[in-house]
This record gives sequence, structure tokens and C-alpha cells, in this order.
Amino acid sequence: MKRKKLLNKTLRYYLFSGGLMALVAIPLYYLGYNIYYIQETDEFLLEQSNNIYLKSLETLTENKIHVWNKYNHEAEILPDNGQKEENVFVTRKFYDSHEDEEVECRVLYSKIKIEDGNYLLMNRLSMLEAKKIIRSGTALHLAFFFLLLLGFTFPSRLVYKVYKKLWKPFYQTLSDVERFNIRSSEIPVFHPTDIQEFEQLNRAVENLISNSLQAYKIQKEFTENASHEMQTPLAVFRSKLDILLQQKDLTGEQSQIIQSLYEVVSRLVHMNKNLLLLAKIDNMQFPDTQSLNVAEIVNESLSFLSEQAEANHIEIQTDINENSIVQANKTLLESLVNNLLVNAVKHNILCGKIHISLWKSKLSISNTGNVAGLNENMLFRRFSRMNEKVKGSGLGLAIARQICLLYGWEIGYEYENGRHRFEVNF
Amino acid sequence: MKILLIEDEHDLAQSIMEYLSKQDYLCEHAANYRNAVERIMVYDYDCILLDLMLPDGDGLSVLEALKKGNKQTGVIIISAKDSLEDKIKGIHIGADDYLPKPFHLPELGARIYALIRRTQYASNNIITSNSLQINLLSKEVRMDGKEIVLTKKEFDLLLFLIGNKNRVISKNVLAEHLSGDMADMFDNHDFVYAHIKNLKAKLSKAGNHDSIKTIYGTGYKWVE
Repeated sequence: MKRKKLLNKTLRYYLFSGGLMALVAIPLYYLGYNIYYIQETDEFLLEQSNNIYLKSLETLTENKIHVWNKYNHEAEILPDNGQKEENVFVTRKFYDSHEDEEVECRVLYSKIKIEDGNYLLMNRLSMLEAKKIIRSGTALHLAFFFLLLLGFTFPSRLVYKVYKKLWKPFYQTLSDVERFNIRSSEIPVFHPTDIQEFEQLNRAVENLISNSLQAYKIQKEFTENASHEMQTPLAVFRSKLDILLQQKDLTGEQSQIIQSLYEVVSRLVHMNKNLLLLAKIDNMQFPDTQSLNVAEIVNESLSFLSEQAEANHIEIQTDINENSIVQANKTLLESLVNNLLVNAVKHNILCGKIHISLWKSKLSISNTGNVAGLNENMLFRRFSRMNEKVKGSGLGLAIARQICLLYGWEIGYEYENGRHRFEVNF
Repeated sequence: MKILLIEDEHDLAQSIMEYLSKQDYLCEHAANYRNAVERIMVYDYDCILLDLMLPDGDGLSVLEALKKGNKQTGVIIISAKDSLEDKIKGIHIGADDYLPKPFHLPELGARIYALIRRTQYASNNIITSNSLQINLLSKEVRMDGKEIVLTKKEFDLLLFLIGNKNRVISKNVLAEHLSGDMADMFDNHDFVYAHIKNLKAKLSKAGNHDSIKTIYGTGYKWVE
């Protein structure tokens, strides 16, 4: 999904809704101003008729009406035509000699009495100028509308500046949260802001982070504590076996039982150690790294393994092609190499072969075995045992993969020409 | 030989005491920090076995108290915490050895034996057992003045067995002693059998018969 910047998205909504509003406002403005102007005109006409004309009519006689009409240009006394209401307003056209055309006027007809005769006083005001003003006002409004559209479509630097200032606290919080690493167990300090929503956001994120840290700490402690707590009962178990073995008059059968218990408890101890190791790798508790010569580690491991290999007449061939130096924690690199080599011995056949090759940034270990190719997806999972005949903790390859993940190395498996091959790319 | 065991886990303490008491050691037990410090101040011990996690205090402070009292007792830390930092810290404060739990009692026995030899008989590097003379420094083994040539692992095994004389030691324990962490990756401990066989043959040839007894093919014992 293509992501847009918040500003662009905001402006687009403003453009749409603001444009629509401005567009609707134009006819509304035109109509409203029209109505308002007519009202004002009517008031003016009524005022003029009552206060100015009627006063001058008080002394007028019927035979002087044509003279009055002659001097008053915008007003005229007309004979009564049976109008019922006192005042009637109409809009109609009159011929204007100045403009030399028919001009729309607002007209007031008022009933008056001159001597004893009933007459109508007509008073009118041209609406030509007003119409012109309204029209140019509307045009101006329209111009503003287009300006607005332009502003939203191509936001100016000023808009960007204002936007940046407004959203600054938000982007600060965002980068703080992005930089946050749960393993560093540091809660970021957010900059105080006077915008309520951003302050609320900061509080919420702070809360979330401290809760996660708490949960992370508890989980970390739990795995470690659980493994540690298990050490003591295992120690008791072992010591009791050592004591039991000292009993006089043990039968052969009893000795065999003790022997299998020794083996079981050894497996438990090993499993527990591996779980603890995994937890520690997960929790990045091996921070100290050093330059290590892979060949040395391999040889060290082989010195322990050669006896086991010889017992099964397994031939080990080593090709150290290039000197390989890696940056890692010694315990972890040893664990990685040991796990791979022990597997190569353990899952081998009688009179089998192991081939170890080392290049500058690649370690490859291949061995013969009694099963065909293994499922690579399952292979590196915890407790996914591939070979039912060979007992193990089921964690060896999971540990190997976790160590590789930690240092950004690649570990892969291949089955080729009847040989299982594990490769680590440093 | 007097040993003080500072350990709050009762079952474990009981096993350790039983195992050691049959080996001519006089073993006393302190289950907490207070008791441990009291005993250290009053009595002298040849060796102290120290658990780091005590209910009322840190085991390392026991060590500090001991060193302040200027006592030259050998100390072996026995801890459920198998971390390098604790190991380094303990050795730095003045512990002589560090044995992570869960350990085998014969392993503890061998460590105590070696430690007491180091601290008590600093000038004497010769161990004698069944007229066998073992020089710890030159790693030479002699029988009636004649040298018996042993491999490094055979020599190691011999010392381990003598350090736990008259006790039955399972071949699993020997396997773990010989190959450390790698041992528990294998279930096949036949290589122990091979080493024992070779050792027995070499001793026999030199005239030392029946010192190593095999118990139903599962354990071995150095009979003195």
C-alpha cells in the first residue's frame, strides 16, 4: 500500500470539503445579499415617503399635483386605483433617461389624501448600482474560491512551516519510539507539549513502554529462575544416586537401574543447561565479544570428539583452507561448533566419514548418515527430533540457529550424494 | 580433616556429609549465613564448601568475612549459578575452586582432595596409595621405583579414583570428569571403559593388581 504524508492527506480533505463549502457559498451569498439589499431599500423608501414627501404634501392642493410631479423626479402622485393596503412594495422596470434603458427599480405605493381626494404616492429607487455591487462581490468571491483551490493543491512553504511546527511534538515522539529498544530497558523521555492530544499520546506510549519493559523483565527472570530452581533438585537427585551406588550388596540388576537413572538425570541436566543457554541468548546476555580463530575452536572440539569418533571407526577429514577470524562470544562460538560436530558424530554410521572445511567466512561440516535428507524447516526447531534412535536434548540445532541469528550469520542444511551438510556463513 | 559445608538445601547437605564422612573427613554443616559466619570465627577448617545463595545473606559475604579474619582456609564455591561473572568474582575474592550445581559427589570429593593437598602439603607433591607413588608436579607415577607411563587421561582418571578411594564411581561420572560439557551430548560412555582397561593393564604389568575394582560394569572403585 502506498503511504502518503499526513500533510498531503490533510490538504486533500481540506481541498475537498473547503472547495465544496466555498462553491455552495457563492449562490448563497448572491441570494442572501439580494434579499438583504431589498429589505434595506424598502426601509429607506418608507422612511423617505413618511418623513419627507408626506410633510411637503400637507399644504398641496389637488390642482397643484401636476406641478409637484414635475419637480419630484423619483416620486409621483397617482390617482387612487383601489389599493387596499396602506403600503405596497413592488419591483418593476422603469425607463431611465440617463442610462437610456429600462432600469429595475424598487417601488413603494402609499395611500395618501390630498384635500378630500384619495391618491397614491409612488416612491422609487433604482437598483442598478446595487446589482452591480452584488455582481462584482460574487465575482470576487469566485476569485477567492479559485485562490483557495490553488492554495490547497500547491501548498506553499508557509503551509509546510506551520504544519511542521504544529506536528513537531508528534514527530519527536515518533522518532523516540522508533529508537526505543526493549533490550536497553530505557524509557524514552518525551518532550513536553502544550497540545492536549500529543501530551495524551506521550503519556499512553510511556505507559505502554513501561508495561512492556516490566513484562519483558518478568519473562527474562522467569526463564532464568526456572532453570536455576531446577538445578537444586537435580543436584539432590544426582547426589542421592552417588550415595545409592555406595550401598553394599547391590545386585547387578540394581546397579543397572542406577546406571539408567544416571543417564536420565544427565539428559535432564543437559536439557536444562541448554534451555538456560537459549534463554540467555534470547536475552542477549552474552555481550562480551572477542576476535576468535574458528580453526582453533574446531580443533579444540575435535580433541574431545576424536575418541567418540574412533569408537565408531569414523574418519574425520579437516581442510583448513583459509584462516578465519570472527567477532563473537567464546562460549557461544564453542557451543555452535560443538553442536554441529557432535551431531556429525552422533548421527553417523559405523565406519562413516566426516568432512570439515573452513574458508575465510565459511565453515562446512558434512557427514554420512543412516537417514536420507532431512526437512530443513523442521530441523532447526526446538524439540523437533529427526532421529528417534539417537537421544539428545532436541535443542542443539535450535541453539546453533539462535547463535547465528544473534551475529547475523547464515546457517543452512543440504543433503547431497548421501551426505548431510551444514554450512555456516560468517 | 575438618570441612565446613555451608548449604541451605537440606537433602543435598545430607548427601554431601554422608559421602564425605566415609572418607575420613569430619564434616560440619551450616544452613544459613549467620551460623556460617559464627562457625568460621570460632573454629578452623581445612576446607569450606560454600553455596552462594543463602536464605539470609549472600555467600560471597561469607567469603569476605573469612578473608577479613585472615584465615587461610581453602574455599570451594558450589553454586546453582553457572555464570562466568560469578566464577570470576568468587575466585577474585579468594575462592580456590568453583563447582556449578548439579555436580557429582565424586567430582566434589576429587576437588576437595586436590585442594587440601595444595593447601596443607604445599611442599609435598607425592601421593602414595597401594605402594604407588604419584608425583603431582612432574605427573610421574612410580611403582617400586619403576615408572609407569600413563596418558594424560589415564593420569587424570587415576587421581580421580584415588581422590575418591573406597567409593564406587559411576562411569557417567568419570565420562563427565574426562570430557566436561561434551560428555552429556553423548550417551555412549564406552571410551571410559577403554581408558580404565588400559590403566588397569598398565598398573597390573607394574605389579599393582586389583586396585581398581569393576562393579557390574557400571562403576569403578579404588580399593586401598
